[in-house]
Amino acid sequence: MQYTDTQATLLAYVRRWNNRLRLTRTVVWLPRGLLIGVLVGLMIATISRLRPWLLPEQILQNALVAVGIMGVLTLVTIWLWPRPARTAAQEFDRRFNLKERISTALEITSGLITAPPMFAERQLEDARVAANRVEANHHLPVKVNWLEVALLVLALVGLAAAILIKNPFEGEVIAQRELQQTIDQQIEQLEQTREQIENDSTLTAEQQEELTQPIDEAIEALQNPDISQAEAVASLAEAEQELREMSQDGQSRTERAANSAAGKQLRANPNSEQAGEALEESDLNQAADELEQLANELDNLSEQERQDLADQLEAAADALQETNPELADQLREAAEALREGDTQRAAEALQDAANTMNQQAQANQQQSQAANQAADQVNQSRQDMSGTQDQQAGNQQQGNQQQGDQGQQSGDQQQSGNQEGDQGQQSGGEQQSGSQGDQQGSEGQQAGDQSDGQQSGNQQGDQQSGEQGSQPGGQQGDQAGDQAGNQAGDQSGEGPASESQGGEQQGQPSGGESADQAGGSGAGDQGSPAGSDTATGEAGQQPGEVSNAPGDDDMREYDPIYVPQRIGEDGTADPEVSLGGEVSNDDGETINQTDFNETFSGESQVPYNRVFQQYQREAQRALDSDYIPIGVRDIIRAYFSSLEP
Amino acid sequence: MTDAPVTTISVEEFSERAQAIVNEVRKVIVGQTELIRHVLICVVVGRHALLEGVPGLGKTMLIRTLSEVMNLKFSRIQFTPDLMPADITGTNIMEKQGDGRQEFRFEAGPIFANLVLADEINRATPKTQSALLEAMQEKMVTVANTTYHLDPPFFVLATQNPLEMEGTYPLPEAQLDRFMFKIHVPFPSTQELVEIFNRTTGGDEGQPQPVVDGAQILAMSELAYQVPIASHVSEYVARLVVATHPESEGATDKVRRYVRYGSSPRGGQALILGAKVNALLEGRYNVAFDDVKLIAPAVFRHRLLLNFEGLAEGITADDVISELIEQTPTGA
Repeated sequence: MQYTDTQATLLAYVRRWNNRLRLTRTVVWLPRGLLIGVLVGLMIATISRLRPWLLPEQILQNALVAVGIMGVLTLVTIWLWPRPARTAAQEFDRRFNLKERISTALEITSGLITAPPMFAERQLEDARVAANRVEANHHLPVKVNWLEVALLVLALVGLAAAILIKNPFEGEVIAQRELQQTIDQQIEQLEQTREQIENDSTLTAEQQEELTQPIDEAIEALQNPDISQAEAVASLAEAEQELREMSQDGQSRTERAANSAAGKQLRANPNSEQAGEALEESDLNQAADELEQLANELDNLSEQERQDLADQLEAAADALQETNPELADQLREAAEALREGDTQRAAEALQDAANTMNQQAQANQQQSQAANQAADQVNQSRQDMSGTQDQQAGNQQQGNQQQGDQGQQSGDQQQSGNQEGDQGQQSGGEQQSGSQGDQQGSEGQQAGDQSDGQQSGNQQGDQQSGEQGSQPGGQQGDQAGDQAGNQAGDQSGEGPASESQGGEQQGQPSGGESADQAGGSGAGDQGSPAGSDTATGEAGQQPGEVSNAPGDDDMREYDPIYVPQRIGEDGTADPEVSLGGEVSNDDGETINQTDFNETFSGESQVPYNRVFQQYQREAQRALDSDYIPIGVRDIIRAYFSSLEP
Repeated sequence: MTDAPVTTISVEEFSERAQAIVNEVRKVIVGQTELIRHVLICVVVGRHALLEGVPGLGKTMLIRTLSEVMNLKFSRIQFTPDLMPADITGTNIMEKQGDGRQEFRFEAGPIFANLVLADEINRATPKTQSALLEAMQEKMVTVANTTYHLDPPFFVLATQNPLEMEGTYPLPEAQLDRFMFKIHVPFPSTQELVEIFNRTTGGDEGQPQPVVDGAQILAMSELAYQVPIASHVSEYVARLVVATHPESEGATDKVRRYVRYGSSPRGGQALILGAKVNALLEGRYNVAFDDVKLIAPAVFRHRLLLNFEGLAEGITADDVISELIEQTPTGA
C-alpha cells in the first residue's frame, strides 16, 4: 500500500484520541456506574428493613457485588468495547470539526474508496495537517462531575448506615433460614424413608404405594415455599398419624372398614359370631381360627342354620369384595355350597378362606412393621422440626425486644396459673401467649387440684391449637385435652414402650423456653408420665385398643373423672366464684368469681357417660374452630367415637 | 468519474478560477452570495439551474454577467405563451441558391449557445417547454430527422416568477427533475440595496472581464468529478434521499405528513456533485457532511412534491428539508 506511512500516522492519531476519549468517559461514567451499584445495594438494604429478607453481611455482599459489577461493566464497556478505527475516525471528524478529512483519508488508504493519485495525496496530506493541528486535550477535557461524585458519597454513607444500624428483622431472617434448613433436612430424611420402603422386598407394590403415599404428601407439603413451621409440623404429624394407623394391624382404613362390615354380618349369626367379632376387630388370625372351627362344625348345623349361615357369608363376601376379592369368592363359594347342602365343599371353602385370612394377616404384619418404622422416622423428623420451632422462637425474641417482652409476660402468667392450679406442672413457657396463661389460671381456679391427665391434656390442646394463644382456642384445646389426658393417664404403662418413651422425650423441658416442652411431662396419678404432646395424644387416641367405654371387653370400674363445673350447669355444686363484676348465669342468678384458693377442690365422682355429650360437644366445637391442626382432628374424632357410650 | 483522464488543471487552479469568476460577477451583482455560489456550482458541473424570484432582483443580469465572465456564447429566450418549439430549436428554411435551385437550410435557434437564459420558462406552453427540456437532457436537437449536437459547455439557467401564476404553465415534475438546483433569489438587504443604487445610478457600473473560457470550465468540471467522498458520507446522502419519501423508514414527521412524493435518485447525484464542487470551492479535497447539508435545500426544493395538506397549511419545501437535515443522522 502506497499510503502506508500516512495511514499509520493517521491511525496513531486516532488511537491517541481514542484513549483520551476513553479516559474522559471513564471519569464521567465510572462514578455513575458505581452510583448505580451503590443505589442497588441501598435498595436491597431498604427492602431488607421493610420485610425479612437479608442479613447485614448479605446486604454488604450484595452491595459490593453490585458496585463491583457496575464498576467493571463500566470500565469494560469503555475500554474494551471494540471500536473500529474508521468508526472512531468518523467520531473524531465530528468532534474536532475535521470535515470528514480523517475518515476519508483512512478509507482512501484502506482502498475502500478510490481517488486519482493527485487528489489522494493532497487529501491525505490535508488530513495529516488537520490532525496535527488538533489539540485533543482541549477538545476532550477530563472533567469530574463533582455533583455526581457527591451523590455517590452520599449514597455510600446511606448504604453504610443501612448496614450498620440494627435491622429489626434480623432475628426473623435467621429463624427463617434455620427453618428452611431444617425443612430441607427433613425432606431429605423423608425421601430416605421412602426409599427404604421402596427397597423393602418383603412388601408388595401395593403396600409400598400405600406406605409411601403419606410420606409423599408430607414431602409435597414441606416443599411448599410458603409453609410455616406449624404447618410443617402438622403435615409431619398427619403423615405420622396415617402411618401409625397402618402400623396397628397393617391394614388401611378401607380394609379395616370392609373387615368391620363383614364382621358385623358374620356376628349376626350365632354360629359365626366369634369369627365375626374377630374380623370386626381386624384380628385376621383369630378370624381364621374361628372359620376353621366353623368349617368343622358345619355337619352339626341344621338346615335352617346352614341357610342362615350362607346368607351371612354371602353378605360378608359382598362387604369384602372390593378389598379382598379372593376371600370374598371363597366365602361366597362356601355360602353357595351350604345352600346346596354340600357341607364338605362348604367346609373346604371356609378352610380356604381361613388360609387366605392367615396369609393376609401375615402380609399385614409385615406392612405394620414397615409402617411403624416409617412412623418412627417421621416422628423423629417432627421432633426435629419442633426443636427448630423453639430455637426459632428464641431467635425471634432476640431480634424483637417487644415480642420478647410479651413472651416474658405470658410466661409469668402461665407460671402463676400453674402454681395456683396445685400441679407440678413444669412451667417456663415463655412462648405461650398471655391468653393461655390466663386460661390455665382459670382452670386452676375452677378445678384447683386437678389430675395430671388434665394437665397433660391442657398441654396437648395448647400445642395442637398451634399455640395461637387466643382464649377460645386455648379453652377448647383444654377441653379436648382433658379427655385425652384422662385416657393417657389411664393408659400410662400400657402403651407401646416406644410411644411412652417418645412421650417422655418430648416431655423433657429444654431450658424452659418452649411451651410444649414446658408442659411436656406431668406427674400422673399412677406416677407414670402420661406423655404430653402429640405422641401422648396418639397413645390415648387409638380407638378400640384400650377403652373403658361400656360394652368393651376390657371394661373395668369407671374411673373417677373430674367434671369441670360450668356456671349454669344443673345439679352440681354451687360455686362461689367472683368474676370481678356481677355476672348472671342462665337462671338470672348473680355469680361471682373468687380467688383460686377459695374454690372447691373439684373432686367430682360422676360417671363419664353423664358428661360425655358435653365433652364431645366441646371437642367438636374445638375441631370446628380451626385451632386444632388438621393432622390431629381425626385422632380426636376417633377418640370420642371409641368412648361413645 | 475516478477513472476519468487526469484533468489539465490543478486544484489550486480550480480555486483560483472559481474565485476569479466570483470576483468578476461581484463587480455587477451585489450580495446574493449563495445565489452566485449555487449558479457557479451548476455551471462547473454542467448542469442546469432554475432560478425563482420576483422580477427585478438581477436574475437575468447575473446570468448575462456569468456569460461575459466565462466568455461563453450567450442567448436569452423570453418565454411567452405563443412561443413555439421551433423558436427555440431553430427550423429549416427554404433558401434560394445562386444557381436558382432552392434548398432547405437549418437556421439554428437560440438554444445553440453555451449559456442559455430561459426567462420566465413557465409562461411557455408545455409543448415548447418540452422542446427546451429535451435539449437540456440530451444536449442535442433533432429537426426534420436531423440531429444537431449542442456545443459543450451547455447549460440552461431558467427563471420563473413565483407571483404571477395566471396564464402560466407550471413545469411537470419530470421536467423539474432535470434542473440540478432550484435557487431562490432573495430580496437584497437594505445595505445591498444601497450599494445597488450607488452602482446603477452613479455611472460607475462595473465591467466584468472574461477570466475563463469554455474549455477551462470543462476542465474544472472534470476535476470536480474526481473529488473523493467517504462511504459514510455517500450513505448519508442516500439516507437523505430515501427519507424524502413519506413511506420510508427514515422519513421525518413533516415528510410523512406533507410530502406526496420525494426525490428521485437524480437528486442524490446532484447532491453529491454539488457537494464535491462546494468542497473544492472551500479548498478541501474531500466531501464533508456540511457540504451536503449546504447543497441539500437547492437540490430537494423542486423535488419534494407537497400534498394538498401541505399546500393548504402553507408548508414550504424548505420547511420540510430543514427538518430532514436536522433529524437525519450523519452516523449509521
